[in-house]
Amino acid sequence: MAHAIFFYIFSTIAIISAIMVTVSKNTVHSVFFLILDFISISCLFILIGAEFLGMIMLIVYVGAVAVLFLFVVMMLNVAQQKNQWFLSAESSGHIPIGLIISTIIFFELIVVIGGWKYKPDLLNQVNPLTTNTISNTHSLGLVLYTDYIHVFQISGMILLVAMIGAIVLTFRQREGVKKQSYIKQISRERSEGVEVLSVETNKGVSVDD
Amino acid sequence: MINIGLGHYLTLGAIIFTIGIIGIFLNKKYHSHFNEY
Repeated sequence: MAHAIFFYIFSTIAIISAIMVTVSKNTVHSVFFLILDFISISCLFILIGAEFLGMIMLIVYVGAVAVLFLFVVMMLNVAQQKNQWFLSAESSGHIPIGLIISTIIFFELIVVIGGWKYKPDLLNQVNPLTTNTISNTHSLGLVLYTDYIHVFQISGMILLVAMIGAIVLTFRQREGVKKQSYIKQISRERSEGVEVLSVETNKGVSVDD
Repeated sequence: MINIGLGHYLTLGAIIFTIGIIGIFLNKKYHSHFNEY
């Protein structure tokens, strides 16, 4: 019964916030609703017994990706509106919607973490999709570095290659920037550095560089 | 309705996936309206 109620609450919030992500005109509001959607989905994961996936969802998507989106969107808006973001009265329009979303997120987290912490038997009783008693974090920890160590390392190497590829693709050689060149410094000969001039008396030298 | 099974979760996933796909096309339509792309 409790599982059904929580499922319907979280799924309703997830669907409504997913719709709001697509239809809201303001990009900052879209990111707020995206964060609410991620948190609702992670609550559903925790509800179904996949607490590792839910926590990873919270840490990676909400903690890193969505906050990065939020920063990028706010920085772009600030650049476009020429710093009127913080000065005009328009900026106060974000405060009520942010408060509403943060209140919903706060209550969702209280429900899930409170239920998980203080009534752990609730999860075992009402969860229809898990049959064994061992938690999936424990079972993942048992096999991740033993049976699947090669797959794990290969995925790390693929991520490394992707990172190097992103750096190479976005790297631009900038013109007009003075940099230190080791090759030039090492291959410098004495004849290039020092020139012996025969100077006539009272004429001086014109240095052309 | 009371017993939540795998079908409920799959239905929820299908709904959110559909909303996401609709969102991609809405975004495309919105941007093509302003000739930004």
